Amino acid sequence: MKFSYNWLQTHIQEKLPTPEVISQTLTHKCFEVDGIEKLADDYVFDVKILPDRSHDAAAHRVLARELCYYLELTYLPQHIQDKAGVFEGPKLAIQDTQASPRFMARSITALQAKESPKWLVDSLEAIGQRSINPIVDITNYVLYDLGKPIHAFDADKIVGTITTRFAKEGETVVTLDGKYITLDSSILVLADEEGPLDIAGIKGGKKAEVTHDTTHVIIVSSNFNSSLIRKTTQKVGIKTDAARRFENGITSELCAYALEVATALTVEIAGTDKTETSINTDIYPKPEKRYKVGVSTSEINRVLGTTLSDTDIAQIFTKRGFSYVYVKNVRENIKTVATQAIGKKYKRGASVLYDAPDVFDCSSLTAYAYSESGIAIPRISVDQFVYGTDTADIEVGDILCINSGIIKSEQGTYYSQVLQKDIAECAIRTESVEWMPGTQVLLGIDHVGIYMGEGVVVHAHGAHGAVVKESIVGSVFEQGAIYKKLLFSDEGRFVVSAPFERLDIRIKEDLIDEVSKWIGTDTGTPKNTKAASVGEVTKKIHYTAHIRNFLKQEGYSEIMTTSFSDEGDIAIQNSVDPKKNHLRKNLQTGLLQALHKASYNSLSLGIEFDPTVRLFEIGNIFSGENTEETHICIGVITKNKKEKKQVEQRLKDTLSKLLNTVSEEGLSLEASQITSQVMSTDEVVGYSMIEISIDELVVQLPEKNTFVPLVGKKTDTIYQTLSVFPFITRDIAVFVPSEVDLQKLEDTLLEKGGELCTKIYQFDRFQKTGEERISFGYRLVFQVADRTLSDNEIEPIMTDIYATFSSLGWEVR
Amino acid sequence: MNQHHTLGHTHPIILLIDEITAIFTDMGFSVAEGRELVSENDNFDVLNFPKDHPARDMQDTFYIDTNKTSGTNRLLRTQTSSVQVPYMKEAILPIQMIVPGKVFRNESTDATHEMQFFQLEGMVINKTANVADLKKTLEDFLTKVFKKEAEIRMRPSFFPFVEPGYEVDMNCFKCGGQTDICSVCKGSGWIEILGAGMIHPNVLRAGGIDPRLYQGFAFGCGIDRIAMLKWGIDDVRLLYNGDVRVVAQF
Repeated sequence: MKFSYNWLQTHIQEKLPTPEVISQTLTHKCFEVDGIEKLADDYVFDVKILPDRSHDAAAHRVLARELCYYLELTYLPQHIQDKAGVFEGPKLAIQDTQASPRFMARSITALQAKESPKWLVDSLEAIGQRSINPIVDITNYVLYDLGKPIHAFDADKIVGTITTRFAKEGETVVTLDGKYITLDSSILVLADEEGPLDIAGIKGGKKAEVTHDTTHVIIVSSNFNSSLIRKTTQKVGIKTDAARRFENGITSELCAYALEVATALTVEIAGTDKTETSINTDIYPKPEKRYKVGVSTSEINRVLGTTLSDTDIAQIFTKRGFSYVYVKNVRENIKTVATQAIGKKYKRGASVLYDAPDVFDCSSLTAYAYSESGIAIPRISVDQFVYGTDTADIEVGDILCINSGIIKSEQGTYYSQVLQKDIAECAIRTESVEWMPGTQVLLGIDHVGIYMGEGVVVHAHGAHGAVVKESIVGSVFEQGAIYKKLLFSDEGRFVVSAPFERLDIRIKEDLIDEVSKWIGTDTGTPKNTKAASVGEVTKKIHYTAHIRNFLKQEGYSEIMTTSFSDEGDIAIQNSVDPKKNHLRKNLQTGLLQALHKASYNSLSLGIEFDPTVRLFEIGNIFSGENTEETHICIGVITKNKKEKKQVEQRLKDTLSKLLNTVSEEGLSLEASQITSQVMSTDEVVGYSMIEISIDELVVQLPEKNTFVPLVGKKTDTIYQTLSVFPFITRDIAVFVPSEVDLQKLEDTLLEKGGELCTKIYQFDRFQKTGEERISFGYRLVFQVADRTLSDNEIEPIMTDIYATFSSLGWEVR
Repeated sequence: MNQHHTLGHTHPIILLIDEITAIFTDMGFSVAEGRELVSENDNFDVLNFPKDHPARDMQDTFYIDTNKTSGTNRLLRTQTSSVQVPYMKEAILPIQMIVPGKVFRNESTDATHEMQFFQLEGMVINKTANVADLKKTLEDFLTKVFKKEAEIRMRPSFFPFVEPGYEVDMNCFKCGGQTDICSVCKGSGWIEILGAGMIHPNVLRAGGIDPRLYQGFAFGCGIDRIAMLKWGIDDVRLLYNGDVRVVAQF
């Protein structure tokens, strides 16, 4: 997202440091800056906000706060002069609170068409947003400043109550940019009594559009379920900045603040003497509560490899603006929380976050007591059982688990706020749901309680309809309860109340991440990384390395071709390239193309590929519905007539030798034992290829796991860029006296060849018996990066070479 | 004519994988493999990418099909991290492993992007592996692979399967940050080379490992990127079109 330097400055008391310092700070501490653009009197940062912070940090206000934290500057809270509402707010309704957890709106009257003030136009333009009219500009400003999408309707165009509801099949909406969208019942809309006004959270509609003539607006500030918005954007194919924010999840707590800021700005910018604002209408059935996350100093040190103290951690959290309590005695704290819960109502499926501390079920009580003490334990009884370790020596704060057999099973599912998914209703569970899915608990667990010491337990019990404190003797736990320890250590813990906006702070690792961001990664002390023993490779890797080494020694070069093909057994659903919409089912097709290309290119590469080009590829192929296999395809191609007749035999020999090499130790594999082999030969063209399955081969070989290094590694490669333009070759044969230094001959060729000549190589050396002179054949390869060479460019060079050789007394043949 | 007097040539990626394998086996790491065609579960779900979450958009994916009975999607792995959880389920703790392998991204190609490329995944899980150890491991690895003392810096970043997560830069082996016009680091003195972090407890649990008893780190990098930096290969597409003129230089 783009951020304006001047805009950030409005939130910070001190003068901001230079754009470079800001960029460095953000990049090293929290968000990578991709670039800085200089405007006439502003700078714009392109900041990469990754998905973990997309829900809050794509906002100037938040980035300014991060800068204040890391640069130790003073954050200026927004000063809002809110005009108190004097008349009743807009009529609102929510059909589904799961889809739409909060819905707020406010109306403002007697507005006047004006231009947006310069600061607003400049701010929006700096980040690439066009000014439209004051009301729309204000909603955009709030979006990029607070990170909270809001929307303004022309109140005179709205009939009756505004409802967030799912659309009816076939209803339509015309978006602000004039697109007709046909809706269905999976799409959430805001609608008045006549029909849909917009696509909720994604795109505004024409019907109640704010224009220059608008004098009476309703500003709505709502929140929507993130995955619902994501599914809808994918379905209707509309991506907007607002939708992106809802997709990442936004706290409902921002709704009121965004509405306040928008109202104040609207009155200030577009208001008249007669302007009045309504009271807020606010439907918010389940107010969010702050999430508690705990961590101990030793847990932080264990992960970061540091030696921080409790004081260090306390300082970091304080600077970060995280409110926390330090729980010194975890067991006593669990006991205190449990004591406070006595007498509270019982409700099965009570939420730890929303219903506590007023309503509990058995496991929400334990989860809550632990959470308040800084320990995240699983939410469900059976998971708490699996999470804990058996103990005979039960202490205060430990839990008791039992299969009471008296809780009746219920039908259906419930939505778990903790797990963020639907969980099947079930009274007695015999398998871990969340903590270690799949772990069996044969005895079954349906009830848990907290041990208070001296034979007393506190538990939320359906039969009592409340949280009760009672003696274990005579309670449901009397027979067969299992004691579990859920604490790994009794050390003190920081229990942080995550700020509402920080939806990413949910587990202790998230707090450790915050500490790491503050201290950096240079303070830890690593352990010695020296290995006790050398690591092993898989059997397939071991033998494949042998195969590579053998082929290399036989003069074969390894290439790679694409895994995609225009045909195959497995098609790709969403490929855009029709030539690459399947997975390859063999290596031969690719290798044959490579052989042809190599045969052509061998002219420019030198004698090592002439007259026979030898290549192989090792890679995975996909056949049938499910088969993924590693194959090797070995191929040769030649232009030499005599060689053409031998290509197939040459490959057969190579395969036999290959099998011999890998199957040392008395086990001799014959080619006939490899059923996967496919041979393909064309003696007219002059190629032959053989493809086998390495998986099939390896299965037949003994287990070996040592790493086999490559042989004959070149260590001095200086890579030469390839030209996309064709090369031209010229051959020259010359007689030189035997005493002439070959180096001198080659130097002369290179010098005269000049920049156009990319390579020379000797392809012939011939000396007649009894003759003093030696005949050398050289090939010169000409190629440049930016054009196709013409003969006219080469001829003068060759003429010059002929002349030079003659002047040296060397005879050109 | 003697056909066998010259050695064949090695593909630069294979050459790098060989060097990487030598470096890590020497440090006690095992080398594993994995499939290229995997389930959405292994590539995303168990790696803590929430369903219906924008984090999945970080990687453009080639989808294959949906199993009618199980409802699971198949796709071409977008990251060698897809090996993590299957490996945890099979392995005996502690774990020290690397996986070099081919991955796929459904994106338009250019000189630095190809629809297929190679990644290196590394994973260490034991009772104490921490961020300081991670940093040391990466420094040792990069020093050996670039054959020059590597200094690294770790910047906060985000990958769903680690927490904390880091982007790792190494000091420019070409100019050492001494010149403003370096073609490798563009004058910044630093080169982005790796992603890394402490393995997320949800991922450990998906692999059947109790995060209260064990912890670990993971890292991943593009082998093609190392090849481009190490040898100045300017167009990755040339690595996968069977062009012998590239291979002949190695």
